[in-house]
Amino acid sequence: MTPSGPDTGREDTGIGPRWRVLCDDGAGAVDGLALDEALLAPYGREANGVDGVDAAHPTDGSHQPVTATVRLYTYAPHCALVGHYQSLESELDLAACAAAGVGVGRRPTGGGAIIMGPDQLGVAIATRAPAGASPRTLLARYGGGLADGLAGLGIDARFAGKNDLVVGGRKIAGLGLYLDPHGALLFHASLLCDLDVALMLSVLSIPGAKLAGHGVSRVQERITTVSEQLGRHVSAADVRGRVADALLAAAGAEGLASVPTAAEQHRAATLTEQRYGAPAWLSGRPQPPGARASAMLATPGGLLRVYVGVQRDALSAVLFAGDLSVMAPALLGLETRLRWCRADPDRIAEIVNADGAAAELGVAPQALAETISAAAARALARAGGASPMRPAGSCYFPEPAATSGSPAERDRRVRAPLSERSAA
Amino acid sequence: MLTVAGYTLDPALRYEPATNVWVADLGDGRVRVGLDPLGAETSGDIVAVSFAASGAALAAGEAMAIIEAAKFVGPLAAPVPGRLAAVNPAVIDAPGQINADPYGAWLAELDGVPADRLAALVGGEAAITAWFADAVARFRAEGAIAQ
Repeated sequence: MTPSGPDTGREDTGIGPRWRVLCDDGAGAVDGLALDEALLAPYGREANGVDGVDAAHPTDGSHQPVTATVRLYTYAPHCALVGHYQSLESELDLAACAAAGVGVGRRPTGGGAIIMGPDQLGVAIATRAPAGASPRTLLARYGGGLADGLAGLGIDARFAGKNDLVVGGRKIAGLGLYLDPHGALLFHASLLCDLDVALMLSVLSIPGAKLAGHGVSRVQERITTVSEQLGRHVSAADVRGRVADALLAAAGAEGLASVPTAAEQHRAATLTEQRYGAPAWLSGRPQPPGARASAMLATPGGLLRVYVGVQRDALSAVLFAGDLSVMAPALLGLETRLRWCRADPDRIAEIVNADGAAAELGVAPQALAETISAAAARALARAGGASPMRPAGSCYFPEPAATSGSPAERDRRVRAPLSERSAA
Repeated sequence: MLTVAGYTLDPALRYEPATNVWVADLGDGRVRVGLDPLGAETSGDIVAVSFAASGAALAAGEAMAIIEAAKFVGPLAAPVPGRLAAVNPAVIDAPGQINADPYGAWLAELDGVPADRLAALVGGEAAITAWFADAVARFRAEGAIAQ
């Protein structure tokens, strides 16, 4: 690792001139997340720097303050982590996790369920939240450093959807952001260096696995890895140094190799016990029931089926399938852009109209938007109904439509205004 | 109503620029607060919101709610000091309404708000217009909102 970078003149961004760099492997699902949050404490408004690596008195004698800590780490094989507001039981097959020895945890950041292990690089950046910066700006700032690291490997990764990094429309990294009430910021990213798709399908509740037995190929249509891009197996350890260099360079920061301080380890142990490992945190707060549904659209290339999952009043997942001979790349991008958008016809139309997917399919944007909205309406109706439905929201797919209720009942629900169907 | 850089603003409200929160004076030291259109847009699609305990005494800048958008979880700071007197249950059930209708989907009401703290927020057509135009320009320059 080269602990230096060019002066990019970005001090005004809140990123200072020196970053601590921590590297570790084999984190557990619970203690790995706890250490990330423990790293935040020195960056709150009331804090005075990193314990033992104090801002005013760096251990190396430098007078430069330490203004951020970046941790580049991997989890023990394997861990399944759900997003902050997701249902553990809904997103994970907990029996399969237990059988496979997969640890489970809940992140402080949003987003969907992911699987982590030696081939997925975890990135955590802890720093003071800059004043006046929007979440989108912050995600772009830190995610840009990660994209720079991939560019250094010859991989052209770009932002897509709700701040995923994609290569050719396929997801290669997910990003998340958590701001704590004390003014500290935690940026999270998971970079897919490689992925055991079969294991992922066995422990995450991903409906792609149930689509005519083509789960693996469905996943591979939507995600890629560093290994695939480079044509050889690449582990997280292989790319860690390059990612660190890129993050430091993007911030105009100098790196200071470090380890967690005793105080950070103590805080992590406390957080493991009281937060991340606590049953109340793992189970999450009660969620309204989510649901899934589908709708169909005839296109010149064949029938398109749109699967939609909802959680509260948002689209937690969108999947396009059908008997199309070729899945248009633009459709995969549209899936990403629609995920977590408001399940509202106007919002859906806005996104579809700004996208090239309808043209690629040979249909009017309005027709595509109405089909998606129809699926959303059915899902919202089901979410508000008595049928037990599982909230959707894995990173990649919703589940195929549930079939409860008579056709007449489904039609009645679909015809009701969307506004009357938000999840209870 | 005002339109500034394509966004609707209400000159009858006051605004907290750092957090893009609007504040409506309900009288007798009570205010209603919500995210302004820029705050709603730059948070992304909001999928959940939770609040501090009812009756909690909040200092300005202290978290009165936790906003959860698609890829972001973070606090929403109280724009003025006061007691959390009420929350809007509609946004708990349908948090996406904060994006769809930032003024209609109010978040919370505070009481016991000192008049001078309310008066210190951005208010009046000229001040609101100047502040908001600058904020939009900055967010556009950062790529946080579309050009």
